[in-house]
Amino acid sequence: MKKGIGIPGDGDVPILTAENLSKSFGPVKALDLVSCRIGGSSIFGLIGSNGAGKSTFLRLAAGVYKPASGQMLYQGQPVYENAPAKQEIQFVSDQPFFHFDTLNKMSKFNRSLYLGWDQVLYEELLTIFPLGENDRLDRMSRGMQRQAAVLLAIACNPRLLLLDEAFDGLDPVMRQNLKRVLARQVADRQLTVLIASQNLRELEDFCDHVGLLHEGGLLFVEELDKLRLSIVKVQAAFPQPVTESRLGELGLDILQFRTRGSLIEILVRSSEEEINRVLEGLHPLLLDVLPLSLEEVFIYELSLKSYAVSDLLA
Amino acid sequence: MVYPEINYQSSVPLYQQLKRSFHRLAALGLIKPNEQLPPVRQLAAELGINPNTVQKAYREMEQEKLIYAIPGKGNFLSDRDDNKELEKEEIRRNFRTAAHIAWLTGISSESLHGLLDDCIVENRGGTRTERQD
Repeated sequence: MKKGIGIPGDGDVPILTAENLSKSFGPVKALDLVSCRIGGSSIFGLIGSNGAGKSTFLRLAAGVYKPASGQMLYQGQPVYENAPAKQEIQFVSDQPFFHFDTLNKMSKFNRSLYLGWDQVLYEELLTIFPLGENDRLDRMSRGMQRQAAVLLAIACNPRLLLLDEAFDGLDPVMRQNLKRVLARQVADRQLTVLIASQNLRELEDFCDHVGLLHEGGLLFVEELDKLRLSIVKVQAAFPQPVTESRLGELGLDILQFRTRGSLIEILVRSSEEEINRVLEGLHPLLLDVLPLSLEEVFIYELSLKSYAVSDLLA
Repeated sequence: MVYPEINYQSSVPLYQQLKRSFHRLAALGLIKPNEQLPPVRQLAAELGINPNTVQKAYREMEQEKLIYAIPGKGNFLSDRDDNKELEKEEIRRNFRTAAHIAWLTGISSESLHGLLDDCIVENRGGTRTERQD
């Protein structure tokens, strides 16, 4: 059994808990023994390529699917066929589907269905997202349909908002508007947002935690800033040649060591302060400590994982 | 209320950018001691960034004693004409590199001081034109 991954440091009750969650579609294992906890008032990014299991995870969280085995819990209770939980959960699919043909009719439908519906918020959102209330939804562009679906979901005032590729297809202005609205709801109403995307860039400046799904398995969950600052790139030059083993002796966890002429380029698992402290003892001629982009950290962590996996197989 | 500047393109984490920006605003006197900082929710909604990110920046600035929190009221800039320790540490690090290069390349102490004076003059010029805008 795989070990569960949680959000370190969060003492409060998680709003969403997956326990050894599995789901198959015929012979295809969409999710395989996924365990994780998602804390309240968090903006959680679920990253993965096509077919990694993101949408399946979201649909299980929304109670659309029933787990094949394991559990998906909303505040400690199974989500599937749990009407009170579904009052507090909103799911925006990557392919929005509307029961009625205009926003106006949809808003009335949602108002009759969801106790948390906030008409004032709905009308305010209409001023932020320029959508005609009586325009035909099926004649709107894909981006506008997404805006409509997100708007309807937020106005239900959910505790948990599940967004499948929500930022994709939005122009930069709308994207920023959506971020501002979500930020406000998280701060004011303790909203928790779970966003799935295949694009790390979309999420890296907005989420506080990220989980990486790969072929139905959750490879890791980590606080984003911790992840980003865990590995740094250092460019340095020293008056005397410095070897990799020398740096290791000084206590640095060197992940990669490259020399370019007299310039040394290394990846180190350490904080910037620690590196400065250690390397300044060697009187560097040049010392630049650069934060890694999240993408670089991910690529590195992933290469580590697959390396570990092939190790196990051999 | 003064808002910090954020560069969404930068690879520097947003909470660090927020911290640096507040440090600078404080150093420039654009936020006065005991002045209230924007509330977390307001800043997050205004800039479109995660409230937890803002919270984290505020928590660290509190630990660094740049700001203090009054429960239920908000966050305020500390009264601190004393230290600027963080700023000095950053400057010291840059000076150390400069001094080391000078030593290796045989540039004299006098020349180094001269270069620093040049930089100060240059920077003042730059600040002045900036403020005229």
